[in-house]
Amino acid sequence: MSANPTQGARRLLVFDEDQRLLLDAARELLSQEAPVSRARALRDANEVWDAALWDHLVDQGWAGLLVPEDHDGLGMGLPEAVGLMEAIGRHLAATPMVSALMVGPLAPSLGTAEGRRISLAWQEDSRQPDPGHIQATLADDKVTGTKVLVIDGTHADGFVVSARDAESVRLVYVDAADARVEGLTRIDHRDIATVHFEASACRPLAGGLQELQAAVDRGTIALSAELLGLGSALTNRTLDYLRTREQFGRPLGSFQALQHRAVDLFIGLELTRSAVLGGAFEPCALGTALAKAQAGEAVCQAAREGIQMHGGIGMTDEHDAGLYVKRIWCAASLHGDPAWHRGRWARLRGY
Amino acid sequence: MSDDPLAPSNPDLASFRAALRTWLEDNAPAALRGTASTPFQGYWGGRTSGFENDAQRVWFERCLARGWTAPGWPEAYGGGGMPIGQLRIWQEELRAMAMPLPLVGFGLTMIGPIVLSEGTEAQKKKHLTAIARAEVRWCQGYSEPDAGSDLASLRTRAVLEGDEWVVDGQKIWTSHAEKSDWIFCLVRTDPNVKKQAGITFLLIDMTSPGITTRPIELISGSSPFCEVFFDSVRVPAHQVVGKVNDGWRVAKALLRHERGMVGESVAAGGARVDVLKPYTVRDHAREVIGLDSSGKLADPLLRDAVAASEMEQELMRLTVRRANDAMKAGSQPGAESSILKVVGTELNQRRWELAMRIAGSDGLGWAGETYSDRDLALARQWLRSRGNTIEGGSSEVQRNILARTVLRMPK
Repeated sequence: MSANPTQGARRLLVFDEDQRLLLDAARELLSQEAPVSRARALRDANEVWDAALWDHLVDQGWAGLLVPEDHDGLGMGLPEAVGLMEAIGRHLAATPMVSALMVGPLAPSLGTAEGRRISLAWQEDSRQPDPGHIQATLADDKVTGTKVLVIDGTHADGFVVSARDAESVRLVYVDAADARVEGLTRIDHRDIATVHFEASACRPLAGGLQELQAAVDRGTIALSAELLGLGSALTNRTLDYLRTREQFGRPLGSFQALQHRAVDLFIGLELTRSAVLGGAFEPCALGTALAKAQAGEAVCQAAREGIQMHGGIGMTDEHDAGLYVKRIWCAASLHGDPAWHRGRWARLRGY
Repeated sequence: MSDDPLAPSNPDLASFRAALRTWLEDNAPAALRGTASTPFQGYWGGRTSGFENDAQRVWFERCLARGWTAPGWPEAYGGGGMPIGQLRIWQEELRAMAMPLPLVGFGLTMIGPIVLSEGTEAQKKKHLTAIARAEVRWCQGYSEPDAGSDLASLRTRAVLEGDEWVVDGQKIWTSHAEKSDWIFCLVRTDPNVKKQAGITFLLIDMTSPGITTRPIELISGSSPFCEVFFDSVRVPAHQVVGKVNDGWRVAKALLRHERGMVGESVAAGGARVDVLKPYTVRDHAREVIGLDSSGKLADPLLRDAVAASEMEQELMRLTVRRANDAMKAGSQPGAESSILKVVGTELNQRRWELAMRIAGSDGLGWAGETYSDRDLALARQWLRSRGNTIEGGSSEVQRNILARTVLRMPK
């Protein structure tokens, strides 16, 4: 069994020097412009996304990371994308980056690289994150249907929408003005919307179900990487707390019961990193399912322990653990939870 | 023959690879191609272990002629002298053909590297050459009945009398002791200092008078493990590796090696029983449980468990690869390599436990014709896997070490 479709010439599963330098630049930008205090301030102001940070990311070219160079993008690949998404997760940054990674290569002419915020409206049943499950219809250049859990939907300039015509699955572009957008207020205050298309004017895009599936899988890997960043940052705080917090006259981290649980968190995150890198360096359906399932399991455990090991302070709104836990729970559910991806794996493996 | 592309002095890796492929095409016996499974499968060498078949003998002899039984060791000690670049290509090409190594065992993987880095010139000449030529098979004498996880509390005693150590005591969990020619041991040479400071690393000829071995039967049936008893065994003083009372440092270097190997080898499949070689939980479940009309395993809970098991094996494979790739890229393996022992052994246990769950009561047979060979082997494989999290450093000790050294948890 192998999730690796190309057994022959394989790449090393590590970032090279150029990739490391590029990702250092991203981390530096996020350290300056997106401290965790900013995520809290945005939440308190009922803002679901960080417009100023997005401008910085667009200026530095990150919006077009996966957009081909002939459409003014950077023309990079998923390895760079997961490095960026991990950093975004660590900072709890609220950007439409997942959407940019999904839509950028799918419809490069829509201007993602220049900072236009285009969301992918593909899912119709919240319990069925399968891009082939489509009831939205396309007739006479009008699209009709309802899409749920549209990431970055509230503030989108427009949508790439999947729909069926008489023959097959089509992708169309709908301007935000031609859609009815219902923003959701979720526990993590991330920008998620239900979007209604009611005979909305649209224009056709290239690609069908295969391209849609690839775009959704890119988003799934991106979310897995974001989870890795969220889990790593929260666990770093948890471990720091174990090292310094004293009870019964000893640091908490000197208790073996807590040490072993801390090691299990560390193991879970290392395995998640392997899965995310594997899914990014050698994209395939099995690798995507593996990354999302593992990230969901391991990072949700980091969330549970992040509160438990902090004790009472971890339950307070004043502490940042809660911000991470809420974002983690939502990201673990988006694009399918671990059980769904185990089911996907089983289906792909013929059982 | 300085222009031999297979010479260690050839700096051009492309021509080395091309020549090696040709050499393998001409020299790797067809019967062995595609048969490699674990790093412990193959010819073990030594006075008592013969070749399993003629192909194994031919393969060993052809490699030996070039020093390729120990390809990375210096030519002066019977090795092939391959620089690291060539060595990687050698490993890659063997893997590509799934060829077993020409020689396996603890001499090559454990004591050899230690003698190479810590031994005297005389020790290197004597022992490395004998290992590379498969004349001597080695076993490891570390654990004792009262020194398991707390290895440093070992009590097997060595007292210097003239130019000989006199050794008394007992070792346990010594793999293949009855088939081995020499044993490398940790012995207590100073009982009056901190326990780690009074230990010496000693090489002992198993034919020395006063040594007896006894096999250990496990819950899974027969096993390679033995007890080794030392009764006034006389050992020449020059058979100490490193300095007297500096054995703990030598042993720690070696233990790290062992832990990596156990985790990787069990994760690589670990199925030593031939009938289980092609075994996968997926095929087993499809056969025993069956698929429903939509093509799913008929038991939804088992379906989830089989997927989880396959996925964690893939996670292990990717993590091993990540650690290896980091080394190939020229950096030290990161923290990921430290978790391989714990992860590999624990997932292996879960896998065999799942196999038992799939088999149901058919998996509970010990003997008899009612049970298929596979189901009988499966029960023993499951029982044996319970030891994976004990041998080579228990999971509990591993977690203690990870907490201290990697996570920097306080004392």
